[in-house]
Amino acid sequence: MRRGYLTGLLLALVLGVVYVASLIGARASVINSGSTTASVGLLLLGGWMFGRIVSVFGLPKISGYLVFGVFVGPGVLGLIQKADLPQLQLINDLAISMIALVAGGEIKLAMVRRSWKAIVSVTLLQTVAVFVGVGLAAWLLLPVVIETMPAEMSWRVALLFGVISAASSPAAVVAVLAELRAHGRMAQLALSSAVCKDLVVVSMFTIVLALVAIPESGAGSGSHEGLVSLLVGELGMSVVVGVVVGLGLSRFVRKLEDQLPIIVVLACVGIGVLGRAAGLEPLLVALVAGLVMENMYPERSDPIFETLEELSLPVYCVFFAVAGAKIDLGDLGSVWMAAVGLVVLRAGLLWASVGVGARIGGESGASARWLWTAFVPQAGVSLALVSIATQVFDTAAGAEVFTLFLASIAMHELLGPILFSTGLTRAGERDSGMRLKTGPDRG
Amino acid sequence: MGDVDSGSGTARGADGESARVLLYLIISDPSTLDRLMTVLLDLGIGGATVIESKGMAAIIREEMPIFSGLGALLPERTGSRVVFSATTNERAEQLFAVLDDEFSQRQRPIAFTVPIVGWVGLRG
Amino acid sequence: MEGFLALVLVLSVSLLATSNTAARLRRSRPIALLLSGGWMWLLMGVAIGPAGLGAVDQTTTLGMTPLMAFVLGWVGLMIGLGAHRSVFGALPRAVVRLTVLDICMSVIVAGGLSWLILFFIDGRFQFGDLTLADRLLVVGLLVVCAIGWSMETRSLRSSLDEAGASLSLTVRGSGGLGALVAVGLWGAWDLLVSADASGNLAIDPVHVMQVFVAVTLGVLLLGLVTRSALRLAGDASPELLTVFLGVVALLAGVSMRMGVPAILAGMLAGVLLTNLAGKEVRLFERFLLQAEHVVAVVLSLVAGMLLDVQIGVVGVMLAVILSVARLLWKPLIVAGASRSTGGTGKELLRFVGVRQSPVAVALGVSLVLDSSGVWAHKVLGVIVLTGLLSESVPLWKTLEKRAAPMATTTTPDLEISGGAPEQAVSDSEEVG
Repeated sequence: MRRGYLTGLLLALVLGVVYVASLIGARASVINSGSTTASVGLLLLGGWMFGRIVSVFGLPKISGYLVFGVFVGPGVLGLIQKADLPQLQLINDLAISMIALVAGGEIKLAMVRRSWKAIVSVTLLQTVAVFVGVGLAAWLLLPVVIETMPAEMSWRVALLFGVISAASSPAAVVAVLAELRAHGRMAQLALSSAVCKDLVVVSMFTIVLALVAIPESGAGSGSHEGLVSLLVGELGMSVVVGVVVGLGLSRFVRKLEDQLPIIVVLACVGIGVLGRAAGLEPLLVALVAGLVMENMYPERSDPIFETLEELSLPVYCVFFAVAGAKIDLGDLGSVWMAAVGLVVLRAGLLWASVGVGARIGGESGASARWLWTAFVPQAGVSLALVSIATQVFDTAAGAEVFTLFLASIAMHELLGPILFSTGLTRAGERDSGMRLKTGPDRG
Repeated sequence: MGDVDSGSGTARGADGESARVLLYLIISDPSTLDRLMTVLLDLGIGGATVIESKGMAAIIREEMPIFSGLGALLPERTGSRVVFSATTNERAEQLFAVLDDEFSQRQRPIAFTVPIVGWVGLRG
Repeated sequence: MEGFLALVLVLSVSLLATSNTAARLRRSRPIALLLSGGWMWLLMGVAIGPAGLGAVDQTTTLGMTPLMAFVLGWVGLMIGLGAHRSVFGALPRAVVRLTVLDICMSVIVAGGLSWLILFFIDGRFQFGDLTLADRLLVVGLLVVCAIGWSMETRSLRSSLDEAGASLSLTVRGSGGLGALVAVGLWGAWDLLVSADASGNLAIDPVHVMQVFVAVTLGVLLLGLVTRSALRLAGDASPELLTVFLGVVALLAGVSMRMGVPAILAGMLAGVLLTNLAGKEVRLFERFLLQAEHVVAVVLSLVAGMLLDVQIGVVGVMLAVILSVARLLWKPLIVAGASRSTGGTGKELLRFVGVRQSPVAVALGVSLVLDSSGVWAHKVLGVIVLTGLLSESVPLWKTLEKRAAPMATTTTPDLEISGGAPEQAVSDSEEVG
C-alpha cells in the first residue's frame, strides 16, 4: 500500500509539471512539436504509474492505462490535446503488430490440433449468437431509442450493430494474459479463439458492409463477387507474407542478436507498411509470423519473443492509454442507459454461447465456465469498424448511432479487462507461468 | 549458458574429491556484485579474485565519442567486473542453479567453468 | 504510409550503423573521421529527403519533429551526464584554459563574421524575411556552433604515444566542456531573444528568469521522480524501459511546451542525474550512453531530411568563411594547449579542433523545432555545410598520412582522475 501512495504522489507531481508547463506555454503562445512528445511521455510514465496504482486494488494494469487515458484526455483534464491523437497512430499500428506477433507466438499448433473442436465451436457460436442477438435487439429497439432514425435505416444499423458487437479485442486478451502470467487451458483457448474470432468478424463485417451500403455514401460499395475474391486474396496474401516474415526473422535472428530491439521494431513497422501499401491485414501477417516462429523454430525464436516482451510494456501503456484518451465521457452521458443495456445483453449472450460452445468442444470445469470473460473487452478493432461503418450514415440519426457504438465500446474497454482478469483468477490460472521465462525450464 | 561439460566432471582428484574447475563470472551490472559475493560465500566458494573490466562495445563506443566525450573521462562507474575462482565442479553446478533460479535475466552474469589440469598454491 | 516508410528508413539505417560490420569499418581512420561527425548519415538524409530524391516528402519530414524533440532531449541528457562534480575538480587547467579561449574566440571571430554578413553585407537574402530578432538568433546560433569540436581523436592519432594520448585527453575534455557551455548559452540566448506580435525585438529578462526558474524546478522535480520511479520499477526490464523512455519524452516535450529548447532541459537533467547517487540512476546513465551511436545516426539522418540545401550565395559565404576561420584559429589554440601539456603536438592532432562538433547539428535542429520560419531549415543547411567543409582538411591530411608506413605502439590511456590505467586497444595501422 505504501508503494501505492508513493506512486500516487509521483503521478501527482508528473501531472503537476505537465499542467504548469502547458499553462506557461499557453501564456507565451508557444506552438511547436513539444505537445506530441510530451503526450507520449505523459502516457508512458503516467500510464505506467496509474497501472501500478490500480494493481494495488487487484485490477489489471491495462484498465489503469485506459482510465488514465480517459483522465488526461481531451474529455477530462485535457493534458492530451485532441490534435495529438492522430500523431500517435504510428504507435497504435506498431502496437497491433507487436501484440499480434506475441499472440501468434502463444498459439501452439499442437494445442490447436488437440482443441480445434473447442476453438471452432466457441468462436462460431459466440459470433453467431452475439450477431443475431444484438442485431435483433437493435432492430427492435433502436427506432424507439433514436426517434430520428428512418425506417429503412434500422435494419442496416441492426446488421452493423450485430457484427461490431461480435468483435472482441485480442490485444486486451494478450495484455491481460501477459500481466497475470496466465498460461493454462483457459488462457490458451481464449487467445486462440479471440484471434480466430477477429478474422471471422473482419470478414463478416466486409460482407455486411457490402449488403448495407447506400450507393451515395460511397462506403462499402462493390460487387459481391469482387468482395469475396478481395477478401480471399487479401487474407491469403496476408498468410503467405506472414509465413515469409516468420521464416525470415527466425533465419536471421542468430546473426543479428545484438540488434534485436531494432530488428523487432523494424519488423513490426514493416508489417504496418506492408499492410497499408499492399492492402494486407497487418494483424494476420504478424499473427502468422509469430505462429511460424514459435512452432517451427521455437529455440531460435526465443530471443525475439524475449525482446518483444521487453518492448511490449511501453507500447501497451501508450496503446491503451491512447484508446482511453479517445473516449469522450460526454458520449457516455447522453446514451448511457442504452449502452448499459447493450453491455448486459452482449455479456449474457457471450456467457451462454461460449458455455455451450465449450461443452460441445469437450471442455469442462472452471476454465470452460469463465472462458466467456475473455471476449468481453473491445478496443481497437471495434473502433476501426465503427469508423468505417459511420461513413454509411451521414445523418443526424447516424451521429446518434455512432455515439451509441462508441459508448458501448468504451464500457467494454473499461470493464472488459477487469472481468477477464477476474475470470482468470476464478479459473485458477493467474500466475500459471507465461512462456517467456528464461531459466530452469530451458535446460 | 552455464552447462558444464560433463567430461570435465568425471576425473577425480587424488584425494577422491570432485574435480577442480576455474569458475569465471562476467558481471555487466556492478550492482549485482554485492549479492553475488554473498551467494559465493553461502556456497563455500571463497578466495575469488575480482577485476574491473570494460566491455568491448564500451571501448569501441568510447573511441568515438559523439556527444558524451566528457562523460567518458570519468572514472568508470558503470563498467563490468570479472570474478574468477578455483573451486569444485559440484559447487560450480550449485552456483549455476542459484543463478538460474534466483537472479533475474538482467542481473544474471555470464558464468562458465574450465577444467584445471594442474595447480600449485591452491588450498582447500 | 509516408510516416511508416520514413520510420522504416530511419530504423534500417540505424541497424546498419550499429552492426558489427560498421564497427569494423570504423577502425579505418578515414571512415572513422567521416562517421564521427555523422556526415555520412547527414548526406544520406539529404539524398532521401525533400531536397534529394524525395523518397520522404516535406510533410512527412515535418511530421518527424516529435521524434527529433525526443532525440534532442536524449542528446542533452548525454551531454549533461558528463558534468559530474568530480570532473570539475579534477579537470586540468589546460582544459579549462583551452575551453575559455575557444569560447572567447568563437564569440569574437564567428560572432563578428556572422554579424558582418547578416547585418551589413546583405540585409535581405534568400533566407527569407528575417526580423531583427531572427538575425540575432542566427548569429547566436552560429557562435555556439563554433564553440568546441569533434571529440573523436582516434582517427587523427598516428600512434598512441604519451604525448598524443595526453593531448587527445585535453582535446576531449575541452570539447566536452565546450559542448556543455554551447548548449547552456544557446538555451539562454533562445529564451532571451524573442519578438513581439509585430515582429519587433522584445527582450524580457524577467520572463527569461521566470522560465529559467520554472525549468530548473521542473528538472529537479523530474529528476527526483525519475529516481523514485526507477526504484519502484526494480529489476524488471520492461518497467525500466518504460520509465527510461517516458522520462526522456516527458522532459523533451514539457520543456518545448514551455518554449525551452529540449536539448537544454535534457542537459540540465543530465547534470542533475549524474550527481545523484543510486544504482538505478547508474542504470539509466548506461541506457542513455549505450544508445549514443543509434541516437547520433537518427539525429544526423533526420537533420539531413530537414535541412534546406538552397541556402543561397550568402549562406555559402557564411559556411565558407566560418570553416576557413576554424581552420585558422582552432589549430593555433590547440597547438598552444599541446605545448602547455608537455606534448609535442602531433601533426594531425592539431587539426582535431577544426572539425565542427556534432552538437552543432543538434543545435541547428533545435532552431528548426523552435521556429516556424522556413529560414531555420536554411540555417541548418549552413551549419551542416560548415561542418562538411571543416572536415575536409583533416580528412585530406589523414589520407595523406596513410600513404606513409607507421610504427605501432601500445600505451595505456590515462584517466584524468588518476584511476587505474585502462587496457589500451591495440591500434594497427591499415596499409594501402
